[in-house]
Amino acid sequence: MHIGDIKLIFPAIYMSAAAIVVLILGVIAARRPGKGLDHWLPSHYLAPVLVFSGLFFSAAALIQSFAGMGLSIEVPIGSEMTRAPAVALFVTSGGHAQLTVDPFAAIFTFIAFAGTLIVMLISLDHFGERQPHKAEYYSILMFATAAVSFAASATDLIAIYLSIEFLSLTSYVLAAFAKTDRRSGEAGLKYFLYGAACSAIGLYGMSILFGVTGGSTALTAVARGLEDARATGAAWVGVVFTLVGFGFKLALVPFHFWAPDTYEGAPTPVAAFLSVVSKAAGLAVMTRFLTIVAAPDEPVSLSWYWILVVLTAVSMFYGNLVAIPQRNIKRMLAYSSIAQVGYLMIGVLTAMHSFGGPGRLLSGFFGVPSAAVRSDVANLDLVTWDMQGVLIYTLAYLFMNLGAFAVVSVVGKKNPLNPPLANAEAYKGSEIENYSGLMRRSPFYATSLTVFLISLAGVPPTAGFVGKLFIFGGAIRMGTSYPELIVLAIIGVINSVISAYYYLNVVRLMFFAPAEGKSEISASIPANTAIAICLVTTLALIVVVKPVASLMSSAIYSVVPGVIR
Amino acid sequence: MIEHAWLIPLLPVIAFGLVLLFGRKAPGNGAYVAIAAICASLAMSLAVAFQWFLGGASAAHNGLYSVTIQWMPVGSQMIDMGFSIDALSVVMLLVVTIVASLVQIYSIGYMHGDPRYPRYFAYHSLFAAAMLTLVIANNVVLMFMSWELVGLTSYLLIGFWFERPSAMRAAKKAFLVTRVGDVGFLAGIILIYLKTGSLNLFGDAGVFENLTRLDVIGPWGLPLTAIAGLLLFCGAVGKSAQFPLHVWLPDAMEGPTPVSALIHAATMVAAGVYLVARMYPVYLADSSGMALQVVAYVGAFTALFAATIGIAQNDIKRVLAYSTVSQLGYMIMSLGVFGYVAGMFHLFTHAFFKANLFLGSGSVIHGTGTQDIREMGGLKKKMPWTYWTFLISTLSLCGIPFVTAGGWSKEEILAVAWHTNRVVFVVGVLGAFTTAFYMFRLVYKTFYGEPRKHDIHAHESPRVMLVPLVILAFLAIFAGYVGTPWANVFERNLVPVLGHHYEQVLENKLAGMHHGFNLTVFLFATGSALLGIFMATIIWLKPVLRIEKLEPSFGWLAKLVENKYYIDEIYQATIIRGLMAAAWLAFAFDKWVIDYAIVNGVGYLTRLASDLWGWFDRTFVDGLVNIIGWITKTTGSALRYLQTGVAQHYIFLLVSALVVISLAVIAGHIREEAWIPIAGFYR
Amino acid sequence: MDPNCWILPLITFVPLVGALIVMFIPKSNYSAIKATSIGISLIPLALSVWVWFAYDRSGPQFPHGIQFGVDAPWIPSLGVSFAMGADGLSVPLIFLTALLTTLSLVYSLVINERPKEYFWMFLLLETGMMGVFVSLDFVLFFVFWEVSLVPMYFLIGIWGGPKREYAAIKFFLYTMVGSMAMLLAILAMYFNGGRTFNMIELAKAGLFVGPEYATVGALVFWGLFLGFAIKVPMFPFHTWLPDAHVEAPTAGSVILAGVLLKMGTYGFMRVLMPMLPEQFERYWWIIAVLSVVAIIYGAFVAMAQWDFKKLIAYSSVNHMGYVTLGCAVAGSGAMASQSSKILALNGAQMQVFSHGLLTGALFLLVGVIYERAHTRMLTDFGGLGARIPVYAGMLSFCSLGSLGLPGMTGFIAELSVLTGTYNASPLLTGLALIGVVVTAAFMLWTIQRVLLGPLNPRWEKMPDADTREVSSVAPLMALTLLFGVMPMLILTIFNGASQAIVGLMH
Repeated sequence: MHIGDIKLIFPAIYMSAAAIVVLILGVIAARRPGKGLDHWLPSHYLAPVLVFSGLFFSAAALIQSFAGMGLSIEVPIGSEMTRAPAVALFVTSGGHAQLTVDPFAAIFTFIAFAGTLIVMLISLDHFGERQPHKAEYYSILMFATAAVSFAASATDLIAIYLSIEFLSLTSYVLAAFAKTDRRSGEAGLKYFLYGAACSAIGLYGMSILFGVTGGSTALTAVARGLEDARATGAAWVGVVFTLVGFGFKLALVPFHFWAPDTYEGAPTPVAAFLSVVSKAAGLAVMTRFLTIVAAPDEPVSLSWYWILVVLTAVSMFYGNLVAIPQRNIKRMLAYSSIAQVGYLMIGVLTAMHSFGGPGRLLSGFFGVPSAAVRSDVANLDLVTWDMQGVLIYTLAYLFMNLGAFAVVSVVGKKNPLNPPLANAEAYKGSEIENYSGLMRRSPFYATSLTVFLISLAGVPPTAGFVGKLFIFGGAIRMGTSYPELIVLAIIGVINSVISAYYYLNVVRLMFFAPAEGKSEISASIPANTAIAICLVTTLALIVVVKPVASLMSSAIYSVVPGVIR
Repeated sequence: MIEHAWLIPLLPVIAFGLVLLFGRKAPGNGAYVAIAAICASLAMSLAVAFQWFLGGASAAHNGLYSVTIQWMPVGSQMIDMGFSIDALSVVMLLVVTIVASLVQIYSIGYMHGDPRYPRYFAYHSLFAAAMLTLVIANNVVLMFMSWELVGLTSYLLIGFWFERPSAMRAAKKAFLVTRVGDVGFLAGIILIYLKTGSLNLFGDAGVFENLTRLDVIGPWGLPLTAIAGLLLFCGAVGKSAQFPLHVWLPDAMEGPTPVSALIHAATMVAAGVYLVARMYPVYLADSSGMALQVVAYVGAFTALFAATIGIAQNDIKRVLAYSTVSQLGYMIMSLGVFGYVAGMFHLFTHAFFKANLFLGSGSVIHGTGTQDIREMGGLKKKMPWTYWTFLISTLSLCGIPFVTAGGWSKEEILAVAWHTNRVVFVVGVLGAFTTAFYMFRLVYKTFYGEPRKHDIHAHESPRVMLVPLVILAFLAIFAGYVGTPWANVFERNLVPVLGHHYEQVLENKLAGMHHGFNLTVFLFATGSALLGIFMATIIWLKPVLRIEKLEPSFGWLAKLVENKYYIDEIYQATIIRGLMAAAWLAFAFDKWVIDYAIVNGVGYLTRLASDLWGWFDRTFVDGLVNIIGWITKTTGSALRYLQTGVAQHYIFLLVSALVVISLAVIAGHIREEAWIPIAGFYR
Repeated sequence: MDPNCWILPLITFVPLVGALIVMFIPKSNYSAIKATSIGISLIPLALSVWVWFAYDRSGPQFPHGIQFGVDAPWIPSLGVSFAMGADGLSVPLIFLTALLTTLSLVYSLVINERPKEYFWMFLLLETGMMGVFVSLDFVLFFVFWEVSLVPMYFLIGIWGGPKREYAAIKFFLYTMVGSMAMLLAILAMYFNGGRTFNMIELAKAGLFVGPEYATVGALVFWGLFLGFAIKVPMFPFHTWLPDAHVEAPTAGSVILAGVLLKMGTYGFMRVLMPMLPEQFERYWWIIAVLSVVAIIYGAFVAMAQWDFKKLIAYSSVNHMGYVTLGCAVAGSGAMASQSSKILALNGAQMQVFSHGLLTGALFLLVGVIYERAHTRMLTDFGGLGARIPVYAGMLSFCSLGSLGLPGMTGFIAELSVLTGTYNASPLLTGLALIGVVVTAAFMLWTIQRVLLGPLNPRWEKMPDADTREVSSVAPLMALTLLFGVMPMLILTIFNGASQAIVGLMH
């Protein structure tokens, strides 16, 4: 490892350091309220400012990671075949890296940072100025973000487990953060118990993999070992158990049980964080694991693959159908996000087919002997569909879902003047019926929420549509070889319609129903900024999709080590 | 003048627009504008006629003057349309403009004081425009367009007093019944267009030149010409009120009487006859002769059938209406037996005397305020002008020879029928008898005897109404002299219209026919008419024969005829009811099956599924929670709090899910594994 | 690139800019909102008139070329581009959209309930509709297709009748089912057609030809078909229409009938026929039979209605049946002669235009009477002809036009379609002719029930149509008459497109 490469994980390091700074300064500021730090920069603004600057570092790292590949952002993918090295860190014996900072990871880092920034802006409004333990809250949020960044670049079972576990632990605390609210504590506890069990299972799976594949934890090594160990049932139990750990993070059915209760109970900004940023980590890890390690044999005959396909379908149906009768909007969004994971999983499975598979462990970067390059992998224009789907949908999902949660947070908070935290969750505030006539009370929030919900339903011209276009497009492309993907795409389409029903139900109440209260809903500037950012991005993605898509399509070549482009 | 013939229909169109928009402010409440326009058209038509027949224009233009413009592109082709002048259209122009102008003048008096007076004249102008377009159109689609427009004005004018439910129903009925026929007409146009590749009638690429392409055997072993002819005839059946679509015309008498005179007697209803005549080459080209036979029998049947109904009607206008139906049957019948000229000739004469009869009846109604002839009587003295003109036209209608126009045309029809189809001839003679019979019944009941109702104070109509009567009466006598057997100007000019080829065909069909005066036919025709008059006289004027005596034996027949053979009732019971039933059935199907059962059903099932899953989510979760809580409680465990229990339960679920999945994986795996040694064994 | 390439994006996005402007007008300033909206809607109207006249009728036609074309890269890695253009199919529809929007806005001057939202949504709707008709890239097309859905949902849901919420969600979900099926089909087409979303390229590519593509071709065909058929709506996918129409505000119904339904038939002509000729030829008879069913069935169901608006809605099912019938015949392969197919397609396009004018006008007229009487039940009226003659004249005119009276556009359309159909299948023409009679029956019956007979004393004081109402209906009537008498003026536009499309079929 070259010492200069450390700059690539600088965003994560920066984030961790910033978290510590916030923590320390917070302690100092708490001792001398109204003076010093708190005087010229209220400490709860410090964290967002730091994250905001972190965003630039992550952007810089993104550019760096491309630079490392000999690509620049402006240039679309060329047709010539050049090696696509990513930067490997903490390389162990045999040339296997524990962390690989490639554009894929850099993009996820950026997404995580952006998401965290928005969550913080929401939090500022949600908890208000007099939030106790604000330093702790914000620093934990930043630690969690750093964990996401690590998880995105982890290419080693240990690194994966550590980053995921780090993320989980911080998330448990966040979920229970409104400690005076009984429901919040309940949410945190449930999340913790369930998460602990899942991560135990996941860890068990990883240890099995470690055992059956010849004693290496690096994904590439595991992958090679797995090729030999394919015959043993234990290997597959290992894969499945590991997937359980990731499935928990993604809230994929049937590992979703924690999600509705936790979303409902946790403070809204935390729920937003869990639904987007934390999920992004799970998604990144899942993608890497599936494409590198667990890509199925061809022809596909592996039962775990089919289970994954079924779970994807079930997730969509389950999430959307159960969302329909929900009365609490946070619960509804929880179920909706279960369904959204289903759409994302279509993209992941597509990507897996496109890049994964035993024959595709190529190139010598990790010391793995190169094998034949599959012809359609070389067909770059087509491959762009497959991974872009995951990345673009994640990006779209980030803004639309965070936007929705931001509005929910603003509408749901009881009153900014009430003692914070004690009644942080005005229970009724998140009831869907509370949205009656919102258009007349606050047109901005109603219109914004409408855009977010319509985007979640996948209706153009919103970001959600762009994401679905890529996801379904990729699925249909691969569908010529794997018809089940077409089935999934059709199920996804049916579910878009089902989901439109409950999303529009909220819209209906906001626009058609008479207003329940007359009071206008007000929010602080940060929250409005967050909503505006989400609104603009949700609407503008379709306009600027050109650079975004070329960025993403460049990134995809790095997800599997050594895929030659 | 001929090259400006397109102005003839255009002037009334302009008048229509002006009167409709500015009627109340225009001179004479719009009437003068309309009349000026139609009189100008009349003048122009006369000019065209003179130029055509006397000025040698016919010869100069080879019997046809045509102007076309591009109208509609189809692919690389272009469908043209325009107008053309030949003897047939000139005759029709004359008929329409003469009757229309007279009727409009008459209407000044008749419609005096009506609240919608300007609109009445606007509609009249529109009618004149459409009718004039129809007769000079050289394109079947243009014909159809004006044909329908004529139907529309008829609809508007029948329903002119639309506050009366009977009027509005009659209007709708007229439109719908004729539209049934028009659908056939439309189908005929389509067939002709597709086979001949043209919509234009004349010219080298026109329909008539390419009829041989139509002369192929189609469905039911009929040549397509026959089918096309029959389809076109459907239009004529509707418009000219032939059986079985005659039902609308008597009801159409709900309109103002001048309307009945113009539209429902003289011109529009004759359009069907004109259509068959105009399309005569199609019928002549029909090698099976089927189409013309149908035309002949439908016409003949209608002629007699309607005449019998006419006997039993008591409404003065309805009698005339059935008479019109009957006379139209005559014309159609004549065309059907190759009496091409005779049919058109009868159209020509009939227009004048029947218009006169209607206007006369309008005068009577105007003077007495009733339409029921049972309430009239003795009007001869009180309304002398009306009486005499009415009598003249009645005689003309009965076909009194030598002195009336109707005599010439009727005889000509019977002469052709005598030559070509004796069955039709017999029917024609019977019809002539019946016509004379019911017409004189009408005359006697209206004008003779004593007034039967004493609160009626009859008076003669104003001069503006009488002048048209007199002019029409004059025409009812003298219009026939253009077609006497000795000097048949009509025939000489009309036959060449068919074109050289079809002229020959027609001549072949009529080969051996005695052109000129035919004594046998004369005796039959005149005899039957006189017999009819005689019978009417001995029953109604000098009641030698007491009709009441016949009552016991012929009561049912009288009732049947009085009720118009219950045709309306039959239609009501079958077609109207059937349509309504179909409508309700379709609606019920739409509402309950498609929308409720299928569309909403899918939505409902989705809701149901979501409820079920939600129920699963709640019950399964909460149920297990409760069970675990119960176990916890009973075992006295420390885990007593609900939330703890919930999480435990979640883990329980997780583990069970995991177990299931693992079992599935292993099972699938083992199954594969199990085969390997076996495979190896055999290898 | 075409020197006039700026025009179509301008027409499309001016209303969007207008919507944004309206959003920033204070919501209590009603007159400014209304004046701005109408003023802005005049811009695309003027531009569309310009397009109409600048359009070269003998010029290139889709897919051999396009006029006013613009093609800018958008997502180049996926072959998505910002491609717009016009040909004979779209030029009249652009004009129709602009015209109906302006007239609807004029008619909507009375809206005083939340006018700001109403007017900006209407302008947004115009952008969506315009976009559909000018897009030549499938992604762009789909985006606009869906964009037009959302404002209409709100228009129905906020300003609609008593069952508006049900109608709005039904409209949205039902059409969304169709558009989702369409999306999948579009994607499948993309991957089988040279990896491009450009409609011109796809139409030229000759997709799914040969037996090995039978299955995928059929799937794509039926996916697209579902999307378009629901929009049209074809029997049996039509039941959203009566609900949506009845509940929508008057101007919403006008746009719904006048433009939104046309998007479906436009899809038939722009997508299904040029891009999947082989499949179309294989399945044309299914479309034809469904169309004839729609013609007859729609007429019968309309006859059974007592609600004036619902009656007009079902008459739309009947009228749109002619359009789809014309399309089916034009794609019937060897069944019909070339000129018959062109004729049928000309007729279909004419019917699209004609239905937009006439049904738009009829919905406006229903709105006029509903505003006065607050009822739409036909049994409640009667004898209004004497009381409100101007209204009566307009209603009679439009009803007669709607039943296909010669001299108006509907007749030209029906005649052309029926003639074309006769060549392919005389039986279908014969059946469709039944529909002609039934249509006449229920239209006349409607006139009778509303206008004729003795005056219902409840409406003794009903005022006649005012200037606003007359000015929103009169242009439609004038155009109906103009193009009915002189079909040359518009048919030469249609004819070029028809020739091009039919030329692609065998």
